[in-house]
Amino acid sequence: MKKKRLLKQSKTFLLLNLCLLFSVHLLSQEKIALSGTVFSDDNRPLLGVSITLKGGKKGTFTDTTGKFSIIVNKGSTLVFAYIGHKIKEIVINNEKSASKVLLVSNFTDLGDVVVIGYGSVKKSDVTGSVSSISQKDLDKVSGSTFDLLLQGRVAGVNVTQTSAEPNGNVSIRIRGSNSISGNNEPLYVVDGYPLPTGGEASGDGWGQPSNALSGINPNDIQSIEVLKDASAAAIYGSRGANGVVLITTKKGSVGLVKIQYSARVGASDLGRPVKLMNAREFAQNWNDDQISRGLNPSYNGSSPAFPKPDSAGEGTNWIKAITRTGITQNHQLSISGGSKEFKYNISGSIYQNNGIILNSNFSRYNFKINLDNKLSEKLNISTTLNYSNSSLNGIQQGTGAVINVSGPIFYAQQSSPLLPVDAPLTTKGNNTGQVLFNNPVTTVKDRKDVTQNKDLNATVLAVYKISNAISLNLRGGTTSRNSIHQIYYPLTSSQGFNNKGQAFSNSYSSEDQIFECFLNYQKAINNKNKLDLTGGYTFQTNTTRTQNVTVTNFPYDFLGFDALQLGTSYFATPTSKTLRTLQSFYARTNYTLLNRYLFTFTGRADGSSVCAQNNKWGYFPSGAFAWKLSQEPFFPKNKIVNNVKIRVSYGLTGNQGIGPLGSLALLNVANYTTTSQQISGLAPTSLGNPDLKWETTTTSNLGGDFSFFKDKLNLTIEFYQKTTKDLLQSLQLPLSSGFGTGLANLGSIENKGIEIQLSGNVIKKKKFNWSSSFNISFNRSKILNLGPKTYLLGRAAGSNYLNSPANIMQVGQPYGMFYGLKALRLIQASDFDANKQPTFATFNGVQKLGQWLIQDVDTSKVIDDGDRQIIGNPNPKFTYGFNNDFSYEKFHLSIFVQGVYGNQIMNLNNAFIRSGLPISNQTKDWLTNHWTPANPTNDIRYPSYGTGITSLTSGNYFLEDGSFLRLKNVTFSYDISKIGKVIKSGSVFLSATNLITITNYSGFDPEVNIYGQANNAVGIDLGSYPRSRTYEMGVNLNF
Amino acid sequence: MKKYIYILFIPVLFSCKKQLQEQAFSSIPSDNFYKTSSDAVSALYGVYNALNRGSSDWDNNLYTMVFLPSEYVESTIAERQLFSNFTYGTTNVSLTGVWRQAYVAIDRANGVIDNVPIISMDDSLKKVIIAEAKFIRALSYFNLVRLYGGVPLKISKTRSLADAYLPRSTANQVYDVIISDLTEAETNLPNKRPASETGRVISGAASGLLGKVYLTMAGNPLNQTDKWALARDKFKYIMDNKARWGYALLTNYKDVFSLTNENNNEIMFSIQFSNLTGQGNLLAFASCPPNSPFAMGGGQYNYGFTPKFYNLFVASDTNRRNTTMAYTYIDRNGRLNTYNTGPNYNGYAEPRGIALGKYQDPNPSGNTGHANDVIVLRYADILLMFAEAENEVNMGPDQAAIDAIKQVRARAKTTLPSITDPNYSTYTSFQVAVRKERLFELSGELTEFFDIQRWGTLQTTIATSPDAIKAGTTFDKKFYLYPIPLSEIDANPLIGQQNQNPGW
Repeated sequence: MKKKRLLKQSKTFLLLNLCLLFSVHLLSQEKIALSGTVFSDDNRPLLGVSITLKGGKKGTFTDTTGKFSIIVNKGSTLVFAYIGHKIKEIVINNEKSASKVLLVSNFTDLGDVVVIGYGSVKKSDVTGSVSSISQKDLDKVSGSTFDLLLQGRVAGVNVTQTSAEPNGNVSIRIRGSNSISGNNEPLYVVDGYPLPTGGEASGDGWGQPSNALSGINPNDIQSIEVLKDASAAAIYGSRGANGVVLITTKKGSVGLVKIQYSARVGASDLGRPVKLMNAREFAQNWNDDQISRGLNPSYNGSSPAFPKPDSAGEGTNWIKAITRTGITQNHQLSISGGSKEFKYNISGSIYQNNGIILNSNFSRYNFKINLDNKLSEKLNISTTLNYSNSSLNGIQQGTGAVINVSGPIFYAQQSSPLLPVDAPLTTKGNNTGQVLFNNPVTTVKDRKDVTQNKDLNATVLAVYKISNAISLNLRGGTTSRNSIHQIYYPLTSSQGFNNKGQAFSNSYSSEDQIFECFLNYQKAINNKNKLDLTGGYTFQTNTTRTQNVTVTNFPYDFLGFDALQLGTSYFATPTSKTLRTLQSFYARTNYTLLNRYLFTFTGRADGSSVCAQNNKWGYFPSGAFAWKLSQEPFFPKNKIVNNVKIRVSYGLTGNQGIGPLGSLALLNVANYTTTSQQISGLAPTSLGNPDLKWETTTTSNLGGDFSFFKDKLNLTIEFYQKTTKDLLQSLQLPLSSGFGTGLANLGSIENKGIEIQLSGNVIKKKKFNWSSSFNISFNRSKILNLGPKTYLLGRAAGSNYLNSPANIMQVGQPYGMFYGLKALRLIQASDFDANKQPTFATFNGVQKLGQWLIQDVDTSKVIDDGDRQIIGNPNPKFTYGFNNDFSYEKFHLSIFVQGVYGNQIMNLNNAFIRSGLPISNQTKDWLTNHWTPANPTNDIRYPSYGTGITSLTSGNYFLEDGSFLRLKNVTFSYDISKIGKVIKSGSVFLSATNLITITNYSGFDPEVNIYGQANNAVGIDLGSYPRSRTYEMGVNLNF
Repeated sequence: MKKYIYILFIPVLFSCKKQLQEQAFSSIPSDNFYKTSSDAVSALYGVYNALNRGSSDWDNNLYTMVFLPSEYVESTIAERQLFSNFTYGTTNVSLTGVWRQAYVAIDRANGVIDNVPIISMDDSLKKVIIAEAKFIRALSYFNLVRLYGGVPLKISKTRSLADAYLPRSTANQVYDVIISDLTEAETNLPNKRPASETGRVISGAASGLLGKVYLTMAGNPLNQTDKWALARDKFKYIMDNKARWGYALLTNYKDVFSLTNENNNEIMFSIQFSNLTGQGNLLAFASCPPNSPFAMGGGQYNYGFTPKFYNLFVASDTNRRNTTMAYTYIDRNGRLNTYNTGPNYNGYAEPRGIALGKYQDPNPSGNTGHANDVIVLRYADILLMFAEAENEVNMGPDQAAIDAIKQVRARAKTTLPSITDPNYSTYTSFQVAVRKERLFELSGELTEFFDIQRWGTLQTTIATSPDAIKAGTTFDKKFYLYPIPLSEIDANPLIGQQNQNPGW
């Protein structure tokens, strides 16, 4: 028998089909030779619909035209099942009983089952705060990485692509930020496997890391669930505080072999260029500046390099010179199908994105296998294998550094348009004030910066049904990443010139293993009460290794980082290895009383190696209660409201903020020297803290789910309040201790907010459908306590030039507020007294007309660090998304709008291109609007020439409104019915991404942060990769 | 059914406490250290490392604090100028850097002093290692107490957050520890080292430093005049027994600083640097003239001597003058550059003074990869300090004092003094002469501010310093001590603003 089954599995499903047909027995009862066609509700014939005799094994499938035939006993019931459609049962009385069968799509019901940690529940039985995105929504979005699929789709989830570079870094904050020193990104769980915190090989310290989750192919995703409150997330205990994102990948389903090919090809351009002065304007402005300072104008026609402004012409448009039309393409082939015993889904894909900046591109190859084997009625084994190989050609961008090491986008904004495109490094008379000229074009073309990541995930899950009520789950799996980041600075770059060629070859690997064992117990008691228990144990370990190699002094440039042996200067090669072990016990009880009172209790105990000796274990309990008010007998029957559910929950979750070794006192290399050799020495590098523990977040949630007009309109409203205590802080120690900082648990922070999600079918006619969904979320954060200090300053914004922090964490204030000097207005002639002495506080007595007049907060009559104050807020007042789907017969149109409102951005580009500093090219609007004696404006955005030292300190003069409303995606598609014998169905589509962005922001794009996911530097723009606008066309074909 | 229950026991197999014990792979947990004599030696080199690494303190921040506040030094580099014109504030990076690095050295030394005694190893080696740690602790406290006054006195290793907080002690309490550490060091340290230990401290250096400590205590602000004799005796002891350590003046002044002649007989203690990766410094880079072949990329030239100082040297003293100052030099293009303050200067990019020429490294491995050792104490200093102390003890010069200064001048090949010379005949004139001699002999060797401080001559310095005059700085007694860095006050509740040095 077993052999037979295995044999079956190895056959194709046509064979299986035949087997089933031949196994029909002739019985004594009256037979009916039935035939018919199965259609979907939009009148398409359905291929591969499974038709079985209720209570029997007999069955068949529909063919390519939706037709089937079967012989059955009169009076028997046939069950029609097809993925994505409601199951239909028909009692057969005569030959016509099933001549035309209509299967109703259950898209709205797909969400009926919601995946939660270690199990799933019916959507109507959810007690916590869980949002889900179904495949229907996912299919419409084009994105290189799955996290972008979430953008604007779920209330309470704020997704920011901090870099618009291909495969750029994405930051996700679910209900605000909870941690100051720890990670604020959610936990990702793919098919039950909690992924380790993403990492990759380090670069040379400049530029953002690429997207750590790029190994997951968005096309492989079936659904995404976001667990937001403590009741939902507590099952993930110490990793749940930032929310949990559960990703379920596509599985095979019962049916004939289904081959799908989809392709999309797109072109992208620079969405919103920043307009800068041309050569004529640049020369004129330079001259004007010099005249204003009593010097002779340089651009006077004395040499070809210094033409008179009128003869300078347009000059070089550096932004144009480094941008191009980007090309993206994405191809995916998948094969799926299966029988009751064996289901499979195999897919392979190629994704390529050539960015709009020269030499920036990303490619990824994915291969995925999902297999489900039902070995017996009791034992099911699912196997998942996902391999991804990606390669990023990066450019240096948004580094926050200015001198010598800035990226090409910064240079392109700054460089003089009078210089030719091929101006070499040694160009004299460049405007940058540097000895060497970093030609933006050369910088992008010659510098090589390649990151290659290989990701492998393999998981086996065995589910054994011990009895009808109890099933035992065993999961074993591994996730590994191998990452190499290599950089070469050639002699044509200033960095390469100074080091005679400089190569970096850095590697990172992460190996993660998991073993899980958990039981599910389900018991219904007299049809009205239901008990659902889950409990289990997990053991997970993660090992990371890094190695960083730096070599300089290369005799030749052209082999770059692939021939490190050519370089003659080697530096110490730091290597590291860390091990993280997590042991957990967890349990959840769902109890349904009288079908309307729902109780959930969840708890997890996490024991972690990274926690300190005295605090190895953390406990994370939670409870929730939901009341299906509309099920109450007293609930009035009415035509408007058909469903009301009220949910409350309370519980604790933790944050995995502590890194390996965080609690230990350690020694590291501290060598000494003689003239000829190093002598090895060791010295303490960290103080250690034997009491270090998790940050703990307490969340209360109140939610309501309402449905109106027979589920046509659905509304969910949630209120939450979270308090995170024991904030992990790098405490500033007195330096007299011999240590600068020590890790400690100090302080607390609060987030509270409201989320509203509204969706519905506005119009549902036979031919025309309009469905719509809208979400909006409001989050307010407040720092309650920081331990001994009342504030913590962020990192210096603009690491080596604008050397002052732009963000502050201050008790009583929201998270990461902007901090700096405040210009009240521009200095006017009336600000000087009769003796021409300033009547305002100055930096050093040399403030001039048209420059910023700074508020003297400490009334010291001198502008210095003591005059810094809170000047703005990087946190949005609210974020929202609005999606509309229209369909008319075979035409579909989907329009998705998304945006944020009320946040500010510290646009440090303005320190250069809108400050009148002749060291940099200026924007056209600065040229027209800036302060002059004839135009004594008071607009702090447009100061006069040479704002002086103020420009080096962060201040309100760089702040801009970061609100935007973006037409994120428009997709127009047309369904193809059968073409020839090969193509059975499909669709073609046209799509545009980032089509229109409405914003007052003057930089390339308001969705930005050069410091990526950093907590202490939020909302900062400097030389960031510009966002592209992408037009795509594509096909989906089923064979 | 029952048999499946056993599966529930699988976790028990995995769940043993050991699994959660954290392992360190790429660094060493302190708990597992200090077991063998080689651990003790490694930890000791870690203490030395605090002198040559950190944020370039001995070669950079300490230079800013000690070299620049002088009437003979000027700078146009903003961060350095703050010190030549006395406008630094309490958050200054140099103030904070020197403070931090001194305490890093102290904490590491405390680690050795606390832990080495419990290692079972050769007792004599143990004593030497502890003595070396005590020498470095004393040296660090000596810098701290001179620059900041009474400071938190840490004499045991910081092991927990609770250990991290200490109030200020008095200067006298700090000096007590310095004297006791150096006394133990001079007793237990060897007189000579094998070549493999070149650069590690020997007993003569401890005695010499102890003498300098007494000399400092005898001067301003403590004015413990009984220490003059103690200082004099220490210096005399070194001079009388110099052969024991091999101390001598080199014949040629320039050779004292030569990169190929480091750790020569004149050097009593210097901080070791080399151009091996991570073992260099930026002293030559910060001090050498622009486009000169003496430093990475030609020298950044952050500061220099005033022309007035150049002219102070007598004609016969050109040896020392031309070694101390790079008034003229041949640049990398083979062109002769001469210092010139005028508008059409050639080579000297801007008038930052006449570049310091004592530290030159033509083959550095990077900006911070210069191999010049930083001299902490050398024999010529001992001779001059002896002359100074002897004059103070006797309230006038004697032949021994004259002889000491004579040795230094003879080596410089300049005019020799005699007791009949009016410049060397009375208490006051000899005091002036010996103070000037220190300037000629030791300028640019981390002596300037310390000398001004103990002589109590800061008022004159500020009144005559060109940078201070330009900035309009007027003398205030507060400038005798640097302020406690604000970050220390912010982070340490046991030191409040009321405990800050007066005037800051």
